[in-house]
Amino acid sequence: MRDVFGAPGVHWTPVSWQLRVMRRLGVILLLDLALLGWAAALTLRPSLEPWRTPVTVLLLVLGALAWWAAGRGARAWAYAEQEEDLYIRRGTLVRQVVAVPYGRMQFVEVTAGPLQQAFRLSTVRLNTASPRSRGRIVGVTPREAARLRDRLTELGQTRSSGL
Amino acid sequence: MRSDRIPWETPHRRLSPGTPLARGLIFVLFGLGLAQDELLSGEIGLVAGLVLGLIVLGMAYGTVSWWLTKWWLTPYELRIDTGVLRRVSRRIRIDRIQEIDLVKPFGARVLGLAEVRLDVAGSQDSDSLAFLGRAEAAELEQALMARRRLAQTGTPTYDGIEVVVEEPEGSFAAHADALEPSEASEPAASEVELARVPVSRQIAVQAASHAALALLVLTPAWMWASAGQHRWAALVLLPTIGSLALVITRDLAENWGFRLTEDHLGLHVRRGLFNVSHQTIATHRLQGLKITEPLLWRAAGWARLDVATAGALGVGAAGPDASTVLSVGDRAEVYALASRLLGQDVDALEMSPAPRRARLISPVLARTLGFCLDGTVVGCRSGWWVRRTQVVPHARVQSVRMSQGPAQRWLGLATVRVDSPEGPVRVTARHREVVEARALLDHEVAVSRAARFSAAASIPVQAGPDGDVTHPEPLAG
Repeated sequence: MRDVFGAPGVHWTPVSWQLRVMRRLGVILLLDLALLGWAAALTLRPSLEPWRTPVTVLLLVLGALAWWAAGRGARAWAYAEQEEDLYIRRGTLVRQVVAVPYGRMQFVEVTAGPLQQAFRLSTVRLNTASPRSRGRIVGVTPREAARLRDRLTELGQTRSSGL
Repeated sequence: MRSDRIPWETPHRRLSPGTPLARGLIFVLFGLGLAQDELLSGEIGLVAGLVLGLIVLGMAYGTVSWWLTKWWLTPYELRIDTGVLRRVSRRIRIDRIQEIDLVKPFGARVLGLAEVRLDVAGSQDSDSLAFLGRAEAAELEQALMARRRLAQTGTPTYDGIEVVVEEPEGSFAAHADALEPSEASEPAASEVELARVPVSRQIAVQAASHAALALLVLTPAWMWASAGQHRWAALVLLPTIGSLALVITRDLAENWGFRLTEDHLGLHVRRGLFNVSHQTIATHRLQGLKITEPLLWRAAGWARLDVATAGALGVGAAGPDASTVLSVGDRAEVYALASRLLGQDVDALEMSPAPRRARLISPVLARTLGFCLDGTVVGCRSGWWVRRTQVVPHARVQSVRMSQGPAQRWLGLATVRVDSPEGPVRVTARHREVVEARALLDHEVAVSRAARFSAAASIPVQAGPDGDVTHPEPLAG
């Protein structure tokens, strides 16, 4: 089933492993906050004592699940530069693949928020005339992002057919 | 003949003093509706006090905001300063203005005001001046148009150029530019009339609209509630009923006397009772079309036609829907028109249904789903309550997507979406067999690429069913 979402005979480029690290650190941060909150609740309300173990275990299990999902979700991002189109694949729960023709690209954007910068990650956005195209690659290294931007812009110019 | 002059360098101007009232009119009416009971009985209780307080506060804020909003018109720029707490000063280069719209929302229309809305190249949201007096707004629109033309053709001198607004006298044909709003009402001699919606049919359509159906349910409910002990329910229902009635009358007035004509520029749509609007739809920029047939319309044999054209839509703008080509017509008429615009018989498209197991996900919708991919177009049909048939030429496809949610994965289904530019048309193959979906995606990618290249080489897209444009084997459903 998996290969239905890949293009036939295509080499998929995964995004940076740093994305996984970033997502997982986020999960750990959230889990810590949840555990802290639970500890505070326990000290403030002694009547919650019988729930201590089940809730702690539940939180830890949820954290482990989120850890696993974050890793899978980050690994699901991939792209493939084909002759005439760029394929982008993503998602584990809801899987998606989009084919954006180079000729339809209007402009290519590279962005990086402060958190992304800390992990040396960037987002590459391809804009077509359709706002629903969702041509977006999350978590590529700045170097790769710059290469993609230049390459895609170049391809877009030579193959441009606009609307 | 009238000569108006907006001097180049001026002290700031303000919006119309009626602005706060125009902005809040709906809320004021709604509030008064809520408080009617207490107001009518003469004693001001909790509800009325609260409502009146809010109205006064809102009006005060609106007045301050109005006082702090200033605008200037200079040869190259329109400057607008707004904001009560956070001041914003925007400078709009006149030569970058792409579209100038005069918009009259309900509150403004009642007070005789209008909003001037500007679409600026490279800016996400549209700038606007709301509200100006109707005459002033029209004057500003004309002045901006004239200055834009000057800015684009030559450089205006700084020491003052008079902007002359000529009001057409009698003969509309004397004006060359077909897009000017002033000559909206009558078609030129060169235009061929394609369709005209009789007023009786327009009224019938409004009577069958969702708003009218809701009214049919709510009005007896209101009468029952106000007669019995449920006064609060009646108070809530009354403004709802009022706004529904407003929607119906607005739609009716907007589409009054709908006329569709055609000339070398494309299609012309004229309509409106109080405000005659005129839209020109450039058919060579057609990106796709949509035929809408609600259940009641199907019984009467009616349909509606909308088109998507590149960059012609004022998205989110009030006023009549700019995408409508025929607000209501006979089914055959609408399909014939659609086929002519597309160069392809829309009625003959064979829609293949979704597999039966898709009904596990959406029991009603899945029965109505249809998708078709043929030599020149890709299309879909869906809906029982409102049936929509949407078609896009391969050459206009922007990108193609496939997605699969958890339930779909379990059933081995996937959804393919074909992206086209902003507009009413969205072609979607929902809940297809997953292998078929993938084949559809690859096929559409290949076909739209071929169509794009042959379109770029200015070979007509409708080259032939099995010419250089298409794949040899048709896809079975």
